[in-house]
Amino acid sequence: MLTGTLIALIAAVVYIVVSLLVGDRFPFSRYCMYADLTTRSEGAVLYLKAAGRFVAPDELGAVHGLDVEALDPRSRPCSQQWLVYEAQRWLRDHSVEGELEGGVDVEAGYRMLTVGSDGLVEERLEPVTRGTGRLR
Amino acid sequence: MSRVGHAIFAVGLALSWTNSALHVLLADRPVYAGSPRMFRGPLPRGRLWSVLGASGGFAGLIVLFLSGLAPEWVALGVLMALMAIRRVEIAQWHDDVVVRLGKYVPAGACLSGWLVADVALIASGVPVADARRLAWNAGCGVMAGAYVLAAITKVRTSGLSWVRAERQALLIAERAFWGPPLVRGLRLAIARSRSWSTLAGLFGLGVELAALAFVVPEARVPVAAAVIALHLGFMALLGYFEIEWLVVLVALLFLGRS
Repeated sequence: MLTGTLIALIAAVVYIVVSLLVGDRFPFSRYCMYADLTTRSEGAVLYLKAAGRFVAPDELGAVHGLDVEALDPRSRPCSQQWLVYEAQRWLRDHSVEGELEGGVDVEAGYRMLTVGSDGLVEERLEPVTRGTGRLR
Repeated sequence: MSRVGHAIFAVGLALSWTNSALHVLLADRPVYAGSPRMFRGPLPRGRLWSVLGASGGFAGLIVLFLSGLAPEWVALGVLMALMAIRRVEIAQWHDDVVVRLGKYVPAGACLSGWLVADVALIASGVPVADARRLAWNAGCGVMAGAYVLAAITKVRTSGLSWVRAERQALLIAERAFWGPPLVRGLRLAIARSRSWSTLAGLFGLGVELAALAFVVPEARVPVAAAVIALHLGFMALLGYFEIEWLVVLVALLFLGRS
């Protein structure tokens, strides 16, 4: 048992030290997910609205006129950057040049959230870009 | 050597591969959103056959891993394969976004620990069978190290303010817009409660630090129970079901018993 503990302890120490030195290089990592989010007083959550209701990005089959790059999650206190990057890619891939016939109004932006010291969760919508789209 | 542990670890490796393979296969669809819609529609044939072919090769490696034949070479092959598909996944995105946003491979990290320890033990004269058995403790050490690293990074970056209620509450509230209604309600309720939000932060950081005890064989079961509880918390409050971590952790309970 002592040998097992010693081997495990050496492995743990080596893994921690090397990871801190080299960073995120397989199989090492600093596992820094969410570590640097404490300076935020607001949280930004991407939203998409089509025809007046909230929709997921892949509910839209085509969009026109949206400034997809303006949704960049790094310019906002966003902790769900993956969802935004995937949404950006989807919208970019499904952007069409011409006006969409029979398209509905589409708006993309961020819900800005705050949690007060009394626990009150407040939300305001911050539209970033508008265009038209067709639901799938 | 625990055959059950080996089999469970093989599942962990397969999950690791599958995770990356799915991201490569469905590269143009929102995978992280977790909607079944990601499977709708045809896939590019070239990409489909490449991923299926590579997955067939990886399945072959898993069979070899389970057979126990030349385990060092098989482990090396598995690690190279995991590294390769991770590279493909990284290449699909701009900058270093896959790495920056946390592409973790616990099964690969623990297998690397096993391989290095196994080779070192054999080189130092330990009989091969004993080396292969004992080296799984290094896998346990790497697993412990991963959680401790997560805690170290939080404390280094943000200090102990990381556990403060408003920080945790914000993280949880941001995830109250998706998931089943019951889960959304739970997230909002916890985000509104200072004491529950602080408790969530303290529990998270505490378990990550306490995971160092996973190096001690006698402490592994209680540590694993706490870590499983932590992951269930991630799933309920943050929406992340990180099954690879759990499967590898349970496998190591069996493999590191020697």
